Amino acid sequence: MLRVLGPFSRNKSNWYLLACWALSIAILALPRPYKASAANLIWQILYAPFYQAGEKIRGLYQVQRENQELRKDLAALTVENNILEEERQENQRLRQLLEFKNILDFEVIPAEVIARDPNFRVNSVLISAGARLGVQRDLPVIDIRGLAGKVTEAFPDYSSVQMLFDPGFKVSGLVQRSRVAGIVAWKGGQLLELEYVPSAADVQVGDEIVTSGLSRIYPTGLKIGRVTRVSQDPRSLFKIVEISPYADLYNVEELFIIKTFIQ
Amino acid sequence: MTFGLFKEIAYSKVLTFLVLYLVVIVYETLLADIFRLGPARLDLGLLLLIYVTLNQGTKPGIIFGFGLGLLLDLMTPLWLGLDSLIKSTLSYLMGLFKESLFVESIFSKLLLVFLAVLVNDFLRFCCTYSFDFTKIGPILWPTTLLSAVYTSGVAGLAMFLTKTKKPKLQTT
Repeated sequence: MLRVLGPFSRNKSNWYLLACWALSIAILALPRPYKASAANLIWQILYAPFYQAGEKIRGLYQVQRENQELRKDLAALTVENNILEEERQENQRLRQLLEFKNILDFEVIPAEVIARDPNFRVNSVLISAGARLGVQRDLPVIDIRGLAGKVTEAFPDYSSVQMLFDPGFKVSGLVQRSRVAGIVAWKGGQLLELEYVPSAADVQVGDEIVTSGLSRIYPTGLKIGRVTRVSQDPRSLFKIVEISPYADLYNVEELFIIKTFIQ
Repeated sequence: MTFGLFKEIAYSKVLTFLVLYLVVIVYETLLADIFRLGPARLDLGLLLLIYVTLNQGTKPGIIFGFGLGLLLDLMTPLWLGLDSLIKSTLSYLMGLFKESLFVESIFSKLLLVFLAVLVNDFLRFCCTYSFDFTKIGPILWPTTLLSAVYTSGVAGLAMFLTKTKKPKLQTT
């Protein structure tokens, strides 16, 4: 046999190569499930620890970067807060001079959403803060982005919150740029509408809608949403102003109740 | 005595291979993305295969290539065995190249690295895409070609940095 193969057989490398080929082809020919389970087993032993370590290192790096970004934001917000504090005090002084009522302070009560209607037929949620923490009926509720609703019932340990997407919810709103006022109500789906806006009023797509402060429930300037569409019904005296709310009303998990103290 | 020496050499080779495999695992899991330059990736496994083949011989190279291929195949279990086939073949071909050509100069070694990356990827894509060149072409260019250039560049840098000066002959 060796004579037949001739010079090929004299080089040991050829035999090594043939052996490796044979083994490789045998492994390649194995049924898929065998290959997958064997590879998975070896992968778990050889690669997984390094992958996990890598993931942890990447996670730490990510957290560090986020931390840096947040510190930067915090610094900027601190400066902004200082300026706003100055303006608040100035505003307070001027209001005192004019003998206006002053909003002296406010407290934010954090709460978790503990129950919600899965069908969103009546858009209200139950939150984990109740009368024991100072929650009262008609206090405004926000999430980190903007107005979310108001407290409709305060029980000792939990409260019911009527959300913006409830058909019965109304709040007096204001176009921040042009100070045009209207009533914000649910339009259907994930949209709100600024109702009773005169057809000649200055409202543009992208305008920010905030609470007007005309009610006794909501403080002035709480962000509600942004105008996404402005149109005109020729048969109506009013504009149709659609608003996309800032608050993530369907997926919200944490809410804050604003408790204001009015002098 | 001879058997003991043989065992010692065998053990040292096995140990070297294990360390190199560990380097490849660490590189593939932790560092490959860091060393990636756009579409070009540094094929460290292939560099180590070339190093083993040129420095330790074709036979150890073939065995190392087989193990390395299996190790890399674990990431694509469907093709388990393919990379070991390709890497052992590549090592054999490099052995032939080493015996028949002059590979002492840096440029011929760089050419060897460049060709090895090209052939390795070409063979792999040919098998995985069933020789469908309409699919293989766009992958070979720019990914494989740039990877070959990048890997050769890194190899050249490594050779330049590890080059030892030959001692000058003392004349009386």
